[in-house]
Amino acid sequence: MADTIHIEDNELARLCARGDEKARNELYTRYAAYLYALCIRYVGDREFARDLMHDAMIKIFDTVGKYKPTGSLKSWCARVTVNLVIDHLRKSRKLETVSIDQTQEKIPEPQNEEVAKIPKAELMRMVGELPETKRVIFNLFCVEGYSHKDIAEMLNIKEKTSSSLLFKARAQLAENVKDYIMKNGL
Amino acid sequence: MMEDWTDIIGEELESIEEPLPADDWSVLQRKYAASRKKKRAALFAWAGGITSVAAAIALVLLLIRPADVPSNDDLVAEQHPPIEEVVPTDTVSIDASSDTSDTVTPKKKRQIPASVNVVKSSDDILIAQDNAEEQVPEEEEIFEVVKDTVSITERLLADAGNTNDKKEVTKDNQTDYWGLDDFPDDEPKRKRIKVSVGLSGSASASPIIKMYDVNLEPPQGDMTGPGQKDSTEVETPEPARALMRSKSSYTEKYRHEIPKSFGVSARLHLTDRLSINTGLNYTRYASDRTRIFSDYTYQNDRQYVHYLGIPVRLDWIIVNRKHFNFYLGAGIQADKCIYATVGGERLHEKEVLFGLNGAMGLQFNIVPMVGLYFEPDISYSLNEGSIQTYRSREPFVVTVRGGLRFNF
Repeated sequence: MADTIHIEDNELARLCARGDEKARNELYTRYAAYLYALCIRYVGDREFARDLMHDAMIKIFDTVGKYKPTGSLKSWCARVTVNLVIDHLRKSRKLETVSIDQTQEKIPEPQNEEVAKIPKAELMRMVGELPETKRVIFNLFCVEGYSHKDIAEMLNIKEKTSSSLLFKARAQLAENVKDYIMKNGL
Repeated sequence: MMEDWTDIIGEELESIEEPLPADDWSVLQRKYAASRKKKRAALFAWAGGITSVAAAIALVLLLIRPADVPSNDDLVAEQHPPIEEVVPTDTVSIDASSDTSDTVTPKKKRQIPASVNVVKSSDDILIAQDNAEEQVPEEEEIFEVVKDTVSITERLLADAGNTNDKKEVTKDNQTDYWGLDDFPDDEPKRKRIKVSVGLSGSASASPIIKMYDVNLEPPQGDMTGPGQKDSTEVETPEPARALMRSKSSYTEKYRHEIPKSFGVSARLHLTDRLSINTGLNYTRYASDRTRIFSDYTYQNDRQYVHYLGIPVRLDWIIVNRKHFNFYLGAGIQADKCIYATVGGERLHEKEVLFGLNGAMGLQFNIVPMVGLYFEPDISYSLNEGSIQTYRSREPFVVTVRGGLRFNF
């Protein structure tokens, strides 16, 4: 990659909005790998995730003029990508309605220290193994930090459904984490 | 506050970056170019559709406007009927040969509105008489009206024979330009295609005059090209090779001047109110480019870019008076770079630039054939091209055009 000059987020956004090809390349260099990982977290499949990341980058190039420097450009790009992914999943009807079992049993949860020892790639795999809707809700709530109210609006579900699905996602993930700890003796 | 175990997973996942294939950027560039092309095509389809619909409406209005149904101008004319409309044929021949001032005599004010050319009975004549100015004794007036009516009926029956007479009267009076041509007459209203040709000059402006650009990578190719030979670069004692290494990155700044433009335009009048405006515009963009290298040397170059453009615009004439008219228009313009240089080095721009524009204009008709027009317009560039110009930095540009328009 060629030498780059450090420029601030808002300057980079401004140049991208004006169609500067090199600025676009700089934006891609900074955030594409991160956005690609984000897409993998949501959809699991790497090829599909790459296509979604490209769609997201195109949308970012087209709308970066709307970026306001109140937050980081990275967060803004992530938000655009998440919205695009959710939109795509909703259109492709992959986010099916899941029947909610009202009885929520307390499950044994892993310790923080144990979780911290698990490699990132393994965590990615575990989250990737969650069913689609649960995976999306887990990502939105635990990684992106959206509230159940926001998630309910985004996915067009009830807040209660969101929290129930998150509970189930946590339970399944806790089980996977425990299994991994047991197998690897962490 | 104590962290939940899922928060730790969240933090870990949030910081993950996945490596991408080496060719991913070029794949994305191709996809982006295709996406822009698709969007542009959709936009053109819309613009073309709207223009076609507008043109179709204009054409339909032109074709379905019935010749014998009075227009707004005709209704105005009814209030002040033209002398030659209802006076007997022999009177017309006298008027045509007499002086213009003679035609406005008390007797000739006693004309009946054009609507009385359907008068058939004496009752109708009396009703019509009420509308006429009473400057002569009643019996004489009725006699005149009957005489006129008979004359009109004869003229209606004679039909084609009168057409030639009418033309003569109009020609003699030479009053077309002053609007009398719009007055109702016995023959069907002729639909005329009018064409105007204009010469214009313009200056553009936008909120930002000075604009800067930052390049993040060195240019492709040889740095010691012809552009550098002619430049005002500050020399350093280092050998050229070392200098090249130090110039691995630089910043570019542009100062764009207000573009100069002139052209010719032709206006095809579809109706009295609608017209299509097209032509050929030449625009010159001049800029000063400064490159500041990482070793603090700099280089100044002058850039000139010359474009030829073809605008197509649909104009709606809102106010159409004899001395001036006011119009609004919307359309598209295609611009092609015909020549471009920076520091003496040729630049190539293959892309045709497209833009949407909206205009409002005032035209003052100095004489019937020649009008002076003043036309502010705002244009929006749909694509900016590869050469940095005033236009590529500011998609919205306000242009003030002025010129002469010749009406034929």
